[in-house]
Amino acid sequence: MNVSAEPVPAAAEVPASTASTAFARPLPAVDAGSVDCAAPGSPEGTWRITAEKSVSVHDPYMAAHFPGFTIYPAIFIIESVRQALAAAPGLPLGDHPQLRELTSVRLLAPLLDGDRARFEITLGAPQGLPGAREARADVRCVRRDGKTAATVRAVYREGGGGAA
Amino acid sequence: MPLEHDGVRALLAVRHPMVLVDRVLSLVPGQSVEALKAVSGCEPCYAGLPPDLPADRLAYPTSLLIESFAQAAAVMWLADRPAGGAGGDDRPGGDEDLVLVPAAMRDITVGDPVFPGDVVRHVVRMGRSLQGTAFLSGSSRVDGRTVLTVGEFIGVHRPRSLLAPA
Repeated sequence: MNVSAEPVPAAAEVPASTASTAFARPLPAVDAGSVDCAAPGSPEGTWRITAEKSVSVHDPYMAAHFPGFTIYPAIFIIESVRQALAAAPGLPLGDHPQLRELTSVRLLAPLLDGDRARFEITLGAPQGLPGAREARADVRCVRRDGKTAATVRAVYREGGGGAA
Repeated sequence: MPLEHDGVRALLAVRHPMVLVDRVLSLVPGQSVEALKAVSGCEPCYAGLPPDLPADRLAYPTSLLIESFAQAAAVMWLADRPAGGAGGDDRPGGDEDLVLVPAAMRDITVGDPVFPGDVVRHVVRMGRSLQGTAFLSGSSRVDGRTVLTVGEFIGVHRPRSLLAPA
């Protein structure tokens, strides 16, 4: 594997992942090292994943949402869940899971610059053939003050499909 | 009632590089909108990636696709406001200083992935509109392929001042 020598824009954080695990993403939506994953006791049990994200105006896109008051966009909460699943060690959903369905999302309180969101994800056992597995996620996003910022119910599938 | 990019920028509260609607093809304020977003490999979401990534890793982030749809919906809603809502000035809170804040989403289905070079066409329609709350739905297509279906997107009116930090 060749190491890239091309310059990296200062505004974008270079992912710690190698070429085989990188994918297009708007920003680092989970803090490095914050993703924990607890496997179920049985093959049909649920997985529990936790992750954190420090909200920062200095992240890509954030200064623009909005100028003068920084709010973590609702859709970046969705992105945080995706990146947590991608980084969760041992989770059988591959390293670039794709959102297939947002069943319901409730946005309850804003996440502002300087806050740290905690994502508590319960994932059903992935179903289907290897390479096409899907799993249902139930997510609670909690602010540092303990208030629930959002709840999400969604379905994720293994990445790798789609035509070029 | 089409809008070019300057018209979109004048309505939305977000700024570059978070303006994810490029052009409005048709607009009935408060009722419906058709809008375009061209996806390009030079967007910030493609920065810092290794040069030899396979194509499937370069799918446009679904989060940004949904945000683009939401902004098309915002254009539809904001175009119906008597004084516009997104000038970014410091007028005190009042009817003319409302923003549409996302409150909930339901039954959003992601279709084929989107890639650089694709032009996404969003169609958004207003459903019920109760006092202070807007119910929207619609879909997004690339060359006729469905890439996103939005069953229900609920926004609530909030004074801009309530969103500022204390």
